[in-house]
Amino acid sequence: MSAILAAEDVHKRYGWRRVLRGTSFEGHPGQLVAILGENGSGKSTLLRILAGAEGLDRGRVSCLGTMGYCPQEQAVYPYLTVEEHLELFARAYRLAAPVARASAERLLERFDLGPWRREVVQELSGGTRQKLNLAISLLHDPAVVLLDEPYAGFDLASYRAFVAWADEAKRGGKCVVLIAHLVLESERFDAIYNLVGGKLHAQGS
Amino acid sequence: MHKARDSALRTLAAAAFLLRDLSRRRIALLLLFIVPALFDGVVLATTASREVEVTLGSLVEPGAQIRTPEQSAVDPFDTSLDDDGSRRLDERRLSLVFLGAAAVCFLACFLAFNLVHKRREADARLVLAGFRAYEVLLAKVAVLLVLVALLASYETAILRPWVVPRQTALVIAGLFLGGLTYGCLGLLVGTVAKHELEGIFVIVLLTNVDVGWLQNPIYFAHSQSTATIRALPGYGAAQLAVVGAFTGDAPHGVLLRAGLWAGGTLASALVAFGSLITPPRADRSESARLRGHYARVLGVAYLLWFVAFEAVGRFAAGLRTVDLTSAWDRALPLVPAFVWPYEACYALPVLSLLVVRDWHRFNVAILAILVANVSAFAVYVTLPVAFARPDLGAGLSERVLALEYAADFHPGANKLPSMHVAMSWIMVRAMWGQATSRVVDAGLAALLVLLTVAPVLVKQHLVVDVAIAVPWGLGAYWAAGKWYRWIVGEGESAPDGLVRAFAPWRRFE
Repeated sequence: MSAILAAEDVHKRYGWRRVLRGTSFEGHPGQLVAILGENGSGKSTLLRILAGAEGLDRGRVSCLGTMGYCPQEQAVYPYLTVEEHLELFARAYRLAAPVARASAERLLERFDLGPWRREVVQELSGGTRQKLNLAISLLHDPAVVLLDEPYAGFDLASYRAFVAWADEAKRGGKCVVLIAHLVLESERFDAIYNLVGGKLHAQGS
Repeated sequence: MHKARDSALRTLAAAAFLLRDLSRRRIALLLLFIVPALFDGVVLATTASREVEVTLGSLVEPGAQIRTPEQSAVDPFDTSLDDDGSRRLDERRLSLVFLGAAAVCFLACFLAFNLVHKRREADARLVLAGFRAYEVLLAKVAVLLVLVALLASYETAILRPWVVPRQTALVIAGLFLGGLTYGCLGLLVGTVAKHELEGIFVIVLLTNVDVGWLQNPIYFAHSQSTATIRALPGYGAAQLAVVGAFTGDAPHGVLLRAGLWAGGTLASALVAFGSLITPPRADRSESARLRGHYARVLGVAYLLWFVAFEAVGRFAAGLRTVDLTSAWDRALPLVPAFVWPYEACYALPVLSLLVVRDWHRFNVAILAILVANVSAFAVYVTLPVAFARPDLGAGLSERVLALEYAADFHPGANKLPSMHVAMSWIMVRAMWGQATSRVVDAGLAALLVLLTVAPVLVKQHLVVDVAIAVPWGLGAYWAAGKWYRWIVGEGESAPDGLVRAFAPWRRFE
C-alpha cells in the first residue's frame, strides 16, 4: 500500500543545535504509529514539520489526504467557548453548516465535552482544554491525524475514550501518528519509532 | 466572485469571534471605561485652572496652515510671516486633552497586545486549518479599527463637559490616528514578546515616555530637542488633539505625519504578525528555500551595517576633517544624472539574491563586506575627509542628489575609502560567472563601471576615495575567501557555513 504521509531525509537546525539529521518516515492508511523519544529529542519538531506548521532546512514532506493536527500546546482562544471554537474551526475547514454541527455534536459526546460546551476555555480544567484541543483537530474527519501528546492531562475515562477513537480511526483507514513519552498498550500500534540523535529508529510492533 | 464573497464572510466571522474573545476579558473592558475617566479625574483634582504659555510644534511645521489669506497672498514662502506656535491656554483644559490622547494610545496599545498575545498559536492553527493568513490579519485589523474608533469617540465625549473642541473632527482624527499607531505597536509587541509581563512592561514604558510625558505641550515649550519629540509616534496624536481642541488652525503637516506613522506601524505589524502565522510553503524547492533564508540574512546584515555606518559617520563628523580634493576632482564635472547608477548600488545585494547559485560565495561576500567595513571604519575615524559640494539646480536628478547631500554627514565623514564602490566590487565579484548566460556577466561589468564612476561624478566622493576602494573591496573578498575555506569544511551546507565562519570556536551539537 502506498504511503499517505511521507518524510524524506528531513533536516532541521535551531541555531547551533541540529534537531533532525536526515529523518525519514512513512505513514499508511489504517496505521497507528507512535513516535517516542526523550525530552528535546525533536519529536514535536518532526510532527510540526509533517503538519506543515514549520519549515525544514532540507528534505521533502508529502501528504496525500486531509490532515488534522493537534499541537502540544493548547492552541485555543482563552475567552471563546468550546462550542464557539468548533464553530470557528469548522469555518476554517470549510465544512457546510449541517456537517459541522453533526461533527461537533459527535465529538462533544465522544470526549464528554457536552457539559462544558458553553464554558469559555479560561474556565476549563487542563484535561478538558486538552480534549477541546484534540476535538478541533478531528472536526473535519481527516485522513491523516497528527497528535502531539494528545492524552496529556486526561483522566482514565478520557484516555479510554481516546483509545476507542484511535481504534475506530484505524479501522476506518485513517493514518494516526502520535507522539508520546510513554506507550502503555503497545500492541495497539502498528509501528513504534524512537527518535534518537535526530533520526527515527523502528522498534517494531 | 464566490471566492471573494466566501473570503469576506470568513474574515467577518473571524473578526466577530476575535472581538467576542477580547470583549470577554473583564479587565480589558474595565480599563476601557475606567482609564480615560481616571485620567480625567486626576487632572481635575490636581491641575489648576490658569493660563500657561505652550508651544504647539505642529503650527510651525511645513504644511501647517497658520496664515491669513492676506499673508499667503504676499509671499507663500516667506517664513518670517509664520508664527512661532506659542499659545496661551488653560492648563487644566490642556491637560485634559493631552492626557486624553495619552489614555487612548495606552489603551489601544494594551488592547491590541491582548488581541495577539496568548492567541498567536491559535491564530497560526486557524491558518493551518484553512483560513488564509490575510483573512486572519484583516480580522485583527477590523477589530483594532473598531476598538480605536470606539476609544477616540468615547474620549472625545467624556471631555465635552470641560472642553468643547473648536474642531471636533480634528480631535477625533488625532485620537484615532494616535490610537491606531499605538494599537499597531501593541500588535507588534504582542507578536514578539514571549511573556505577558514583559509585553505589558514595554507598553507602559513606551506610552508613558512618549504620549504621557514628552508630548505634553508645556514640556515641549522648554525642550532642548524638539526634533526628538517630533520624531516620536505620539507627536501627531497629541498635537492634532490639542490644536483641534483649542485653535481653528489646520496643521496638514502633522496630520500627514500622524497618518504616515499609523500606516507605517500598521504595515510593520501586519508583516511581523503575518510571518508568524503563515505556515511555510511545503512545495518550495531547495533553491527557493535557500533564497528565502539568504533574503532574511541580507535584511539583518543591511540593518546592522546601516546602524554601524551611521554611528561611525556621526562620530567621525565631529572630528577634525581634511580636504583631499585633487586637480582631477576639480577637472571632473558634476553629472547629476549619475545619481541613478549611484542609487542602484543599494539594490545590488538584492540583485545578487537572484543571480547567485553557489551560496558559499554569498557567505564570502558577507564576510568580505564585514572585513571591508570594519577596516574602513578605522580609517574613517583616523582620517575624516570633508569637501565642498557644488550647488544644485532644480532638475529631478539634482533633487534626488540634494536628498543624498542632505542625508550625508556634515561637514563630512565616511569618505575614504568609498564603501559604495568597495561593496559594489565585492557583490559583483560574488555574482561573477554565476548566471548561465554570459549576457548577465556583461551587464554586471557595465553596471560595475557605472557604479565606480558615479560617486565621483555626483561629487559624493573624491577620486582618491574610489581609487583606494577598488583594491580595498577586492582585497577584502580575497581575505574573506581564504578565511572561509580554512574554517568551513567540504560538504558543509551554506547556511551552516555562514554560522561557522562567524563563530568558528563553536561546534554544532
